[in-house]
Formats: sequence, C-alpha cells, structure tokens
Amino acid sequence: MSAEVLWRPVRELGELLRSRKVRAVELAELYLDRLERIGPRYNAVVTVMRDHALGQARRADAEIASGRWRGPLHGIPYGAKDLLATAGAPTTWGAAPYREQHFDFDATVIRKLEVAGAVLCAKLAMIELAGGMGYRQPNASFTGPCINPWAPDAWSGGSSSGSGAAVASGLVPFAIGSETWGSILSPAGYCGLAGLRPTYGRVSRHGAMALCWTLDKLGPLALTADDCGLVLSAIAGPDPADPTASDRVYRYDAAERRSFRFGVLRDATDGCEEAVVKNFQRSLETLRTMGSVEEVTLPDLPWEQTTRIILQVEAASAFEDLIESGGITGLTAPEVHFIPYARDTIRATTRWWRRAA
Amino acid sequence: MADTPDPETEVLFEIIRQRYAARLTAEQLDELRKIIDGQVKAARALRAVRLTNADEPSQRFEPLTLPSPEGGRGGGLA
Repeated sequence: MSAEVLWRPVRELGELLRSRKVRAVELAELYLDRLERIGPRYNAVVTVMRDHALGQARRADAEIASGRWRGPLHGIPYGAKDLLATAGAPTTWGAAPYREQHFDFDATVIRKLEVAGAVLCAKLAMIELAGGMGYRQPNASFTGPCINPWAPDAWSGGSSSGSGAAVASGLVPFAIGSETWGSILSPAGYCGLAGLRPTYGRVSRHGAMALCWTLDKLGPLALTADDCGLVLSAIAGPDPADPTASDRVYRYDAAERRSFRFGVLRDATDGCEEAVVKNFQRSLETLRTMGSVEEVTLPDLPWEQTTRIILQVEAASAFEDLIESGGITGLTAPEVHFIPYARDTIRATTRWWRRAA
Repeated sequence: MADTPDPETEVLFEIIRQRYAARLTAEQLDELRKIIDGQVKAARALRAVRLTNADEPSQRFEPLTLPSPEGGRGGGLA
C-alpha cells in the first residue's frame, strides 16, 4: 500500500475503507510495519499487537464487504496508552515493576472502540504511573524518554508521551491518552496534534489505571479536531462499571454550526517567551473565526495548590503499597525513588479541602 | 543567611525521617524537607480561604443505594 494514506485524517481513511478503495488489513499492515520499524526510534511503543490487529482488520473487511459498515472508525488502526487494560497484551502502566502485569479483560474504552470497528495495533509508551509520583524530567519510563518526531532532541510531552509521538510520526492515525493534569494536552501541544481532554465523567475509566479518582480523564489525540470528535463519539457514554461515568448523551455532528464563546484567562501568557505569546495570539485569531473570544478572570483562589494536593494524596493512596514497600525504587526516574514519601505528611483536613476544586 | 526552619515543616519532616530514613540518603532527606515545606505552604494557602459551616464540598457525598426488590433505586444502603 502506498504511504500516501499516512497522515490522512480518520474521516478520510474511513471513507476509503467504506468505499473499499482501501482494505482494513492493508491499512493495519502499513501501520503495524511502521510501529515495529519506526516506533523504537521515538521510544513510542511498548507492545505491538500484530496478530490481534490483523484479526480485527480481517473482521472489518468482511463486515464492510457484506454491507455492515459500523461507522467512520470501522477498520481504522489506533494505539492505546499502556494504562488501559487489554486482555491480549501486558498492561505495564509505563513502569518497570508492572512490566509483566496482565489483565483478563478489556477496558471499557477498548471495548467501545472494538464495537465501533477500530483496530487496536499497539500499546503506547507513557510516563511511569502517568507521572503521579512526581517526575521532573522525560526519562521517566522503562521504555526511555519519548522523542518528539518534530525535533529529535526534544521530548514529546507527557504523560501520554507515546500517544503524542505515535500519531505525529504516522505510526497510528489516532491514539487514546489519559489526562489527570495536562497529560493529553501537553503531548498534543508538543507534537502539533489535536488533543481532546473530555469533561470529567464523559468517558468511562473502567480498566484504566487509577491515579487520581477526582481528576482522571480519558480522551483522544489525533491529527484534527474533527477526528477527536469522531473518537469521542465512540468512547463517551455511561458505563455500569464506572459510577463516575455520566449518563448525559454526547453527540458529535461536524456539520453542526454552533456559536461558540471562548473564555481566555487574562494572565494566560504571563511569563511566557515572546514566540509562545505570538503563537497564542495567532490561535486566538483562529478562534475568533469560530466565535467570540472574551477575556475572563477566575476568583482569587489557590487553584494550583488545591489541585496539586488532591493529585498528590490520591496518587499516594492509589499506590500506597508500592510506596510503603519501597517498590518505588524500581521506577526509572531517580527522583521518584523518594519524592512520594513526602505525601505522608499531607494531613487529612487538607486532603479533604475541596471547596475551591 | 539561611531561612529560619518552619516549625510545622520540621515536625512533619521528623515523621518522614522516623519512617523512612533507613532507605534514604542525606541528599534525598534534604530534598524531602524542601518538598514538605512546599506542601506546608500550599496547605496554608488553602486554609487562608475562609469557609463557613454551610459551605458544601464541591463533590457531594451520596450514599450508595441498592436497587429495591421491585426495581429502581432506594432499596437500602450498601
């Protein structure tokens, strides 16, 4: 198959598959080959799921040929951050102590994407334990620091590091990441991608590594915002296995013309480099073509301190056994061999301070 | 001149030293003292925002209720 299909949006690939100009097996083989051949260059991949992917792709081809088209994701390859449980491959959470961890079920997001006909090709690299132990530099995963395809001497962002690098380097058309504090938007920004951090509760977290019950979200990274909308449509919705998943219906219609109101924090670019400020201003000009842009301020409350404390204590609770046992010394980043101990001193009255959250 | 140690930081740091010093180097302990000091200051910023007795948490506590025998919710507490 010609490499011309690389970097085409999901919507276009889906149309090629639906019209049978491209076969799902051919598409899967193209991306599997890149995952195996180019993935190591970026430290972007943990496990390539060749047999699993080709099985799903063959099924997609058969269904499409018989007239049973499931929708725009049918036959589309993708990768999942390696904190989503998959029955057919290890789920390492990016951390050496969990390299051999296996689950006998698929996370709800994986299951929903299978229902949509998408083809899971790989588990993608991530910062160990999604960064919840307090890493301070990119070499914080047993797969090594994830390389930015746009600048080999730069990081791809994190903690969904492999999800960003893999989409940007054409290893998969889209990927699933997770965000507790910036872990979808950071790699999307660093790698020049669209990242969609859904509203809390929009996407079930069943089968995803728990880092911070109050803040964890799952969402897509892709080449376009439209692609992110298509993926979110497939993965959003209620789930009896996750009581925090919202019952509210999510519908994405690209043709719908909505009138947006964008709020921009007054001091959003304070302290930023000049080039960053210029790019930010250009992005606002783009937003103004879609709706109104208004400067806003938030009430003067300690937002960052509040969020940080919630994250630190919940992550310490989620990995209490690993911390108490000293198992954190098995992690890659040397700074996280001791930083988590400090969280023992965050007192309960502070832990439950939620008013400003 | 070095800053005067914060008494609250020192008390909390002592807990960590008692629990984990055997696993840690002097440099790591010193770094932990700085991290704890940051946590103490962050907690003070939170406590500086005054709340009244009537201020609810952002996340309300909702007891889990089991389905009643006839279906629907409200059958009992779990």
